Amino acid sequence: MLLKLIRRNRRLAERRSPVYDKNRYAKALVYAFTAFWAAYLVFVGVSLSIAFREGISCLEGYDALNCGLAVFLFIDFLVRLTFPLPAQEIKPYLLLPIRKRKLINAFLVQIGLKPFNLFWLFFFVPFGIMSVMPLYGIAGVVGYAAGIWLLTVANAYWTVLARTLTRIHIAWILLPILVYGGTLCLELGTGWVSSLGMTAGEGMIRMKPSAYLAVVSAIAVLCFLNSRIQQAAIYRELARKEDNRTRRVRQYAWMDKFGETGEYMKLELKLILRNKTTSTNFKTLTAITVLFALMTFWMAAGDDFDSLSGTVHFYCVYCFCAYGVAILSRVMAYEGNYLDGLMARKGSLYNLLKGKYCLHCLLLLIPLCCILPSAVWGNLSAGYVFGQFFFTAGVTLPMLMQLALVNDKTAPLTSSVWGKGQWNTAYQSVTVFVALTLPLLLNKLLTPLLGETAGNAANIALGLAGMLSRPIWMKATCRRLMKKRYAMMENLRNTR
Amino acid sequence: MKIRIEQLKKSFGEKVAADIPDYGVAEGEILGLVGNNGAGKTTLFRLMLDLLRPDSGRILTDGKDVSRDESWKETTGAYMDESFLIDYLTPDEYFRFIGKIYGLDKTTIDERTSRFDRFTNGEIRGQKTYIRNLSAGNKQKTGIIGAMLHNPSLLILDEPFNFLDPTSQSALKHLLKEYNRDTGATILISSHNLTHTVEISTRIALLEHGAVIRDLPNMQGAAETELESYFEWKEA
Repeated sequence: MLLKLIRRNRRLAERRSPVYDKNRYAKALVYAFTAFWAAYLVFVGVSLSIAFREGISCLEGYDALNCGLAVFLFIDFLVRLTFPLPAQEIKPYLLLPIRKRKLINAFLVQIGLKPFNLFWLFFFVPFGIMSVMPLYGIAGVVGYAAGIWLLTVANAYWTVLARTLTRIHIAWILLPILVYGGTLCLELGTGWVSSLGMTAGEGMIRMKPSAYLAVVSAIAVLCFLNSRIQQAAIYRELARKEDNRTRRVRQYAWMDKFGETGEYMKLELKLILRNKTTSTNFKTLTAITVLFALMTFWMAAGDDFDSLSGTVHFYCVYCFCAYGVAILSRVMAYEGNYLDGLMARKGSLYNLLKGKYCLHCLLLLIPLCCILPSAVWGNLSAGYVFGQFFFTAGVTLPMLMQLALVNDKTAPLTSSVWGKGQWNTAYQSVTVFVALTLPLLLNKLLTPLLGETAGNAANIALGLAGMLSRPIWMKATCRRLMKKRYAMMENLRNTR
Repeated sequence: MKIRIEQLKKSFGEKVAADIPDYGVAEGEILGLVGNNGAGKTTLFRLMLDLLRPDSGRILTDGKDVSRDESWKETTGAYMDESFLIDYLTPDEYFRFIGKIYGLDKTTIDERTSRFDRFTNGEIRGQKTYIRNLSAGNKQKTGIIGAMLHNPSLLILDEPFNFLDPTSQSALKHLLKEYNRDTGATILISSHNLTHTVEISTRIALLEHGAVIRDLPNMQGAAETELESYFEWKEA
């Protein structure tokens, strides 16, 4: 009864998410995203079974896969780090006349019954059909799938346990580190882990009761431990207070010289660096830019640059577009959190857009510095690098800024990058796609037509034209934005 | 700053949020807007700040239509709710940002914010905490200071006493009265707290279903009896 109530409430919470109310495409997108991953897992499952059959002759395909079961469980562990814990979800039920232990146990059972535990079967079942069925028939595949499901459930309880302990005291983070580190050492030293995976997997395929009993016993022990620890964690969760102290407040005083625009540039920089969503995005993209730049350097310095030039050019374009595509494409969506206050003050909209644009132009210096070594010491043409630099500043960024006219849903600043509300409209996805492909297509078109040097010069010229005409296109954007300000503000307000 | 409302209408679906054929607020007045939930107080303020488009009619400040001319923004200060705050700034950064927009230098901003030290009880200035991590009361104070920083001649505050402790509520009352007396600014406040509203307002407008149903002069708290009789709960 209680379990049914919790499951029903959870389903309602998912179905009635405000994101679905405000965005009729959101639900379809979530379904499409899930279907994509399911199809991808099926594809990987089929491909892997073929690869194992053709590439490994000394082992059966399922044995080869079972050797890596520990890796699969580790990936599952990582995926589950974002899921809520029972002690975090229990709050609305605590004042009901139900014993806490019963509540906790109901939440724990619910974890075992989650549909997500079946999601990996999109990989294992096709793999089993290809690798196991020829030898053990359908029964083998069913036994294998059941065993994998049980392993996934055990892994779910292990993840909850490890995370709850870590929330109780940070020192408990050593537990998963020791478990996974120990597993790795054991494997490297003795190969025992892969042998165990192989034995367990084969036991499941052959439907040996001992294999299932071992996993079910592990589930029972983990459930018992979880039940005790979750109860202890409830009061800690209720009394939990995030550490909100700000240790260092940077002022970026050097931007003061840009006057009012400088104030808005500072505002944009603080928006990027001080909010979870944007700062995670920024840090990840910086890491990817550095990584891509290193790969570009490696390829540009090599002898077979000509055959790799397409990849190098893509990396180069991606590095320049990354910040704009990920952060600037949400123009006005982030500002939706405080736009009323800005709109009640003079000249704010134009200066806001100008500040954003100028800061993102400045941010282009990061990929420029990362990519330039490939031009100085490698075979990548400096003209191409500067062509992309100016093209991004003068064409791509202005194009992304036009999204200010269509982004009418407030994007939360403190959710995860893939969290709710980060994708605004279909226009955003299309513009992002165009921003990433247009420079490559243009390069493909201009180089044969004008030659490489003139093609790069054309990119620079287009970029400079966009940069120099900034006051014109920005004022036009601002005028159009002012015309539709009431509808935009209402939508942004309603989606906060 | 004078305000004139002409043939103003705003509805959300079937619900009428503003329906004011003609209404005026004279320069230097403190107008208190009172009414039950959904009476249209916040909507009226949003219309005055050009944050909502009226279905018909217009609002003029000093003779200029707020939706056609932005010059009123130079001399108007407002705080409606948390959406007026940029919550990833510290209060000092927020004041500096607002101040710079109005062309104030750092010394002036510091001097002006120091006027509010009694009101803030030393809990806002100099704090290295982002606004999002402040208590609800301190957020409210930050918003009010941000609205008054540039010495506006029209000050609009929506439910300014919300979240404030009794001492801060009292301090705010004195602050608003003093500000009105010293600068001659027009002040518009909405509140569910009748005692505070009666105490500071020179006039009180009672709203119901978006319409001003009573316009009460309030010299020496004259409106109190009438308001009490309107809001008194009567058994059916």
